[in-house]
Amino acid sequence: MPTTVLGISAYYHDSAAALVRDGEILAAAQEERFTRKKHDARFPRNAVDYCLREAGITPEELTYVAFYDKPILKFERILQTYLGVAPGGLRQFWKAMPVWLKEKLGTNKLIRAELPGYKRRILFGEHHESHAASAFYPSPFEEAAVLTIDGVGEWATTTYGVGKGSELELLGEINFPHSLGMLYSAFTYYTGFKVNSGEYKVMGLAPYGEPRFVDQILEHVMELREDGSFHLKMDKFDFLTGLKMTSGRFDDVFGGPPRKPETQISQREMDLAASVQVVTEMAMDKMARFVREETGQKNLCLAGGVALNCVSNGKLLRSKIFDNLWIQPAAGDAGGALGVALSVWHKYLQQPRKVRGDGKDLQKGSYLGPRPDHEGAKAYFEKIGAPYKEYSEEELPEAVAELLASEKVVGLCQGRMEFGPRALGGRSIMGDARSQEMQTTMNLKIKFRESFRPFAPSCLEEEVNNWFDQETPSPYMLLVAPVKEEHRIPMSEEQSKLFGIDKLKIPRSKIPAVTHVDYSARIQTVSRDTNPVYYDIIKSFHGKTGCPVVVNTSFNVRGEPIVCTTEDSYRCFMRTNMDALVVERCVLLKEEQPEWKEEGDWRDEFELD
Amino acid sequence: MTQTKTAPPAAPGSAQGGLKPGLNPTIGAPIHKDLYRVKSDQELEKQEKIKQTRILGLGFFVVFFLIIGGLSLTLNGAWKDGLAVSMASLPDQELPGWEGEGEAKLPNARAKDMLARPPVVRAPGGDVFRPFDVLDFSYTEQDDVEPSAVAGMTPIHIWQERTLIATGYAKLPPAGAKARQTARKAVLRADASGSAKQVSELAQGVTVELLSDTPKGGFMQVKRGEESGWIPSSALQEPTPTVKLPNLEPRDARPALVNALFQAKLLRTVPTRYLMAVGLILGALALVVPVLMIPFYDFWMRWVTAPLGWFNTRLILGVVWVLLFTPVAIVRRLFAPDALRRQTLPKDQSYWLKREKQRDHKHFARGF
Repeated sequence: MPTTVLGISAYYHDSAAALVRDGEILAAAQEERFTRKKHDARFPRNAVDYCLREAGITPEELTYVAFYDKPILKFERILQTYLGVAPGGLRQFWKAMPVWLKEKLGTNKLIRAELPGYKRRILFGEHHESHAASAFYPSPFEEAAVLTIDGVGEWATTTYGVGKGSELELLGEINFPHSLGMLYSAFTYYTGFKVNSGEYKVMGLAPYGEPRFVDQILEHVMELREDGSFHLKMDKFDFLTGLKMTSGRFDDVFGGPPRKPETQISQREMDLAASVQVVTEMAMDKMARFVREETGQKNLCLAGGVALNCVSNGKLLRSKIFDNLWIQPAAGDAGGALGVALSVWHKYLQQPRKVRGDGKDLQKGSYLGPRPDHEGAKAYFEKIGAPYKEYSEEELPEAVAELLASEKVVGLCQGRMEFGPRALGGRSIMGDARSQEMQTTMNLKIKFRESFRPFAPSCLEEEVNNWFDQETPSPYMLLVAPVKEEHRIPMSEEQSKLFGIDKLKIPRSKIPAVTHVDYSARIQTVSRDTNPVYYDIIKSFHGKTGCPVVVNTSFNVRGEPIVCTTEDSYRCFMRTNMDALVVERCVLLKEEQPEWKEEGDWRDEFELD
Repeated sequence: MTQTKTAPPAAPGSAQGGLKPGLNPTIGAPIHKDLYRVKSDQELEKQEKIKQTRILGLGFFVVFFLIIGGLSLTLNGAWKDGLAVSMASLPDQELPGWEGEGEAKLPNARAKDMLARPPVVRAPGGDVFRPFDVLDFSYTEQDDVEPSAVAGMTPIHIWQERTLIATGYAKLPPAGAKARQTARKAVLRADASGSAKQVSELAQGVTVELLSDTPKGGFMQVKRGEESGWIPSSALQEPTPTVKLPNLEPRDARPALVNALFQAKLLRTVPTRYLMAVGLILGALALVVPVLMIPFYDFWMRWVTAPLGWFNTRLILGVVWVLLFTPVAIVRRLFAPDALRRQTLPKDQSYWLKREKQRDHKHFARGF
């Protein structure tokens, strides 16, 4: 009887489930993909069902069910926080306490109610231990240093440690409320974006700005020590007592109130974004140096929400502090589900860990979700009367590459769904990276989102160093690297004087659609190993055009979770100005589709992120 | 081979378009059918809502129909034996002397019954009055209690035919004489003249006995207690018209339950039967077609439950905050180090907290 461990992350944001059988990652998925509700934090009922289905078992056949953090420790932290701030903080107390008393303290009971038949113990991992496990255990390294950075778990906001074989020890931490994640979120809030989801936008906005607030941040908001440890000056923040992230004193430091959401973004917001990005990079750099020195390890594994900051990850890689870097693609709290399942296998059950030895990791390309069923897809298209063309496995890549080469925007839903926030060619929208208009078109007509937001390239793994200053693979789109000098189009003197978003309109390279204003790109390297179909499409595109790079953005519109099933993708395809849709081996062209009828304005369906 | 297909309008097969039942494509293991649960969120939410709706409907039935209705009917004598006569079939008319007060002072069923078969009020001394001559009245329903003295009132027995139906007290008109009431404050004088000697002053609304039927020079001779004298005729109320009992037709006698149903009122204002109807309708709807009740459920949750809950939570938590958290926080701040480590450390110290000891692997079994 194999040992099967189900890991669960829920009740905060981004709930997810992951299944590990005898140490092998069998399945993992985020709940939002099934419920179509972004950042769904409810119990991951559908994701759990999917995982069990993937393993072909019922709940009673599970060896263990594990939760990604320790609710009681977390509650203790919350109570301590109130005791630290009372009589202030009543409003937050009013807001948080009912949920804790009604639900979260009874996590054990809630989980049992959702898993009828499961009779054994429910296990709990520490939040950062789960992150660390998700970073180290699937990594390709026999031993490595581990660094986890996020908003907050129980008490820890940042931890470092060492993993060796199946051992994983956390050696040090920085505790709440001193948190790099919270600092970044504070700036996300201050620049008028939504906390816990708008952080990407801040990162995307940063290259348009000048980091002119760095000194203010380091002097008034956060103290950063040489060893990477840091300390937030809490009078500038409101999250301990209030319902906002920043306080009036924060406004004083930066000379004004927060930007109102959905209003015009000014140069000031870009400069603020650039500044907090620089501070984050500085902190990560110092921490990495400290961890390298403390642990003596030459490999580093990263996880935690801040590890999704691919710009600082790229800088960290190029700084050569560590020889190798591996980042958990589901670095956020969803990845905790996977982490705790692996923790239970290696730590609680004390089972050995085998690395592959060929330098590849154990994450399986993060293609850990459900796969659309080809026959089911055909039946669905027939039922709704959607004309499609079916291709053989050999012919499909050629046909899709042809569409891409004629500057068509193609939605791709094939193979298993990705685990983690990035679309990696399983649920992606593809476009021609050479096209000048592609970024604006895709942003405004397909994704319905802010025009400044950059797109990422997918590049054949073996071609990456010909196009980018990057030698190692980046299969999870978690590293940002500059476009190679020879592919850039230098700016004229006049152009370089332009500010902010005006720079957007200038072509910056031969692949302008994926080159950010600072010539950077968030790269995904594609290998045939993990996603043959996607690889073959790009390979074929390369053959036709000489360009091994395509635009890859997640298959969704602004505020919508990435698509999961055939229906999801067809719906999204019909709602947007996408030209073609690929589901497994079916190709659908927009011009051939019957008219799409929609009840009400679907754009109201998804809350703006 | 490229195969082109234009889809026919409908085709058999799964329209799940994704997760396929049967064999698991990745590992080739069979899929448990009962796990194949691809219910949409909306569906689950709707089911849950219907369940909640049923509970709400049942709640209304229990509270409005069973509890309020039951209690109210019981108080109105619904379960008593016999028939009751109701005012409902009587024409609206003023009952002089009774002034509508009777309904409040006798149980409805009984008061109205009295109208049908006029009871007789007997003072213990043997004087007999018709009930409408009684000016003020209170009663006890206990037939066997002998009324005791109450200031200014006469103990009475109320008989209906040969049955003593109530005992009580009444302000009775002075025996053998005509009683009148003062319409305003008036001076009682020794003679029928405005300049005659003042005997005393009578307040408005006091009952006096007329000593003579005819006025003299605009004055009437009256007696009040031991005192007698003259007051202006205009200070006396018009005499109470002779009470005529309504000419009652024989009318439907209704079971006490029906009678109570028509008479019971919640807080003397809202007829209980309306509330009972609401309880019955909501209960039945919830049981039979709960879908129809969803709008009501939404309204109820949004405008009744939610505000109440909001208020309650804030009240209780506010009290806990003020009485528990704040004092503990203040005391702790004096004696214990800051759990949030907000103080700045000297330059040569690190903010890293080292973990000296690793937790035992058994910690996974605990939620802390």
